[in-house]
Amino acid sequence: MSYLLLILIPFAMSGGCFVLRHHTRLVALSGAAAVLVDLVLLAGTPVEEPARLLGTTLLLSRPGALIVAAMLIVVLGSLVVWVFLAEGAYAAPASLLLLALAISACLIQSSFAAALLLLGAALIGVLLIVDLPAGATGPLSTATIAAALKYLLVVAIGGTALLVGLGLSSASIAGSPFGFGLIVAGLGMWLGLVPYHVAAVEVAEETSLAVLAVVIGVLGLGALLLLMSALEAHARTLPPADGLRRLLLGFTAVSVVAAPLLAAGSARRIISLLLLAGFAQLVFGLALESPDGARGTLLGILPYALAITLLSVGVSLLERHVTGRPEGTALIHDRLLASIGLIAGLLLLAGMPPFGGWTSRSLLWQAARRHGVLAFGVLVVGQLALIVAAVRVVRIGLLAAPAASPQPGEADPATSDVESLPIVVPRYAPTGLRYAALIFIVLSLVLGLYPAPVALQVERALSNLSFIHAGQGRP
Amino acid sequence: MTLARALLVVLAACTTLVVVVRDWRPALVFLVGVALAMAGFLWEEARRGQEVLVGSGIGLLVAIDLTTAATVVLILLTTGLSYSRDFDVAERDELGLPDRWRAIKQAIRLPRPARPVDYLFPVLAVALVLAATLLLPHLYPYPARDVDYAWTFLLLSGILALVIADSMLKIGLGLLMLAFGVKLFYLAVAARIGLIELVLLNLVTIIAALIVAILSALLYGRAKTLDLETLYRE
Repeated sequence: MSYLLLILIPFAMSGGCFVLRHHTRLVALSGAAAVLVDLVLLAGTPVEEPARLLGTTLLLSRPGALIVAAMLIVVLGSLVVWVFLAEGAYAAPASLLLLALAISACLIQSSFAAALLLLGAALIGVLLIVDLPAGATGPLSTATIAAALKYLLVVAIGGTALLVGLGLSSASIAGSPFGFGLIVAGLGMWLGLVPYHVAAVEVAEETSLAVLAVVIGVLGLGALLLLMSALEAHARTLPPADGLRRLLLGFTAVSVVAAPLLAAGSARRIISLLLLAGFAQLVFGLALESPDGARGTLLGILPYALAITLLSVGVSLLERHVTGRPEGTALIHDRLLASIGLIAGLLLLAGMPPFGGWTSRSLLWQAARRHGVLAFGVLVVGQLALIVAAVRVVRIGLLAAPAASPQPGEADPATSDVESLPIVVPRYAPTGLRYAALIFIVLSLVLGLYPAPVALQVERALSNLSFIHAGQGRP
Repeated sequence: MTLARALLVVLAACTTLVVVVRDWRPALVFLVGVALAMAGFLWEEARRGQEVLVGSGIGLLVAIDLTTAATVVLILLTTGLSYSRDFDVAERDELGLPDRWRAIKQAIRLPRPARPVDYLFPVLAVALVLAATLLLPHLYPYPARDVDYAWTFLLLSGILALVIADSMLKIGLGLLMLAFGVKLFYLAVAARIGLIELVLLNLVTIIAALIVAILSALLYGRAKTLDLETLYRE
């Protein structure tokens, strides 16, 4: 019953939000409330207890519970942003529908059905990308349509490869190396690993970061669970030291290094590549197939979700144009809390203490060092490039003063006396959203300073992952 | 020639024509041929003794399959007729029903002109796909049957159609070929066809067609054409 409620709450709320879609803030608030209820329900939902529904088995595994929690946090963050900064009419209903499909994918035991559900969620994501922002006049820009189309193609071709790979792998007891190769390729496309990162970057440049968080974050997290299932299945069938696992390791290693190195240009572009790099590090931990690597990955899931949320809240606040507010100073002075949110998100991604994520990162480093010099070198280079790119975001987004700042000597004499009158400067963000940003910052600090409860869940989850034990001791 | 072999030939011919033909109208007709051949394969797989949905007959499965195919073809047809490049909403004096019918008739009457050289690259690409289709099944973890060659060709042709597409409708056709290919693949390899999987396969197919319709509407609203080159020209 709890499993069914986990799916039905966002699904039903999505329907309700669709009916009332023109009241954008109301539906975003209702959606956020529904996601909060789902989070509370998840905390009380029994794990590892199979249930039957429509002839199929539903089961919430321990890694699955962590991933569902991360998905809920990501969607909650975006919905909270949309409560205060109105997005398009379909943003809330589409996000909730996408969430419902993704949660179903985490619960359903058939990998093929889970991949289909995630594919459906990704297709709904296209609607989010092309949703016209509230108050927009005129048709959508061709660049946005092009970004949506590229995303659609990547998702469709990746989904096809994944589905065929899953089917071929399950068609034979001995497994299928070709099938596993297709799974890796398909998941690579869904996760936005280099060289399939272009669509995600374009989506980031053409939509808001809150939309990107839902579209890329939720699909990526779901794909991570699918990858775990695939590794589980192949630990039982394929030989332990086969080249395909090295292929997965190499694939993620390229992304760990290349994604932050490619991070140049606009702040949004850099942030999207940083998100992909952070995710690639999580996948890299799984690909190492060691207990420490998997522990680092699982511990990094919630900090990653918080990082996406903080970045989406921070960037939304920083990019907001407020009429009547002077924009002469750097944003880090003008919009302090939003800047702290952005910096906290970047620190979470980089795994810097005291924010959550440092425990995960240290375990990943430890696992890489045990695996070999090459793996360790990849993480070191990737981490350095990630930090440099994060500093670049701060320099571009926060430290640079706006170009159109008025010069003191150019004041118009006719209006100078009016300008000297005291004026009311509007706030850069609604109070509620600033409080929400503060809550997310505090949460990420708490997760970093007191990681024990999550670590306990991770230790329990590790006992269920047989591919780690199969890969233990491998050079 | 067995029924499966005949279906394979029909499916390969229709798929090739969907990819090669430049105009979306005949391509849509050939897509119907692909869907019918798929229904035939479904019938054949069930006759082969595969366990299918406990308590339901093969007729129901074929009916579901054909209904989905009809739905997505109708979605694409409506999209094509509504947003065809051959007429412009701005040129019409009103948006009433008689005017819409007139515009639809005009769109049907005016196929896009094509030169023989336009077909050269798609034909060569289909030949390559055909060669790949003959080789790839040797990598599968079980002995390949006719249906395996069918879904392999369908999937590769779908990807090819996406790569060489010049309009949003051709993208839609490519996506539907991928969806049909995945469905045929599932019917071929599944030890037991599950209800959830079957429902999801059909739902995803319909959602993909709807997404293409929405993107077509947006592109037409912006550029008054469904040609993809306008996306990169502006």
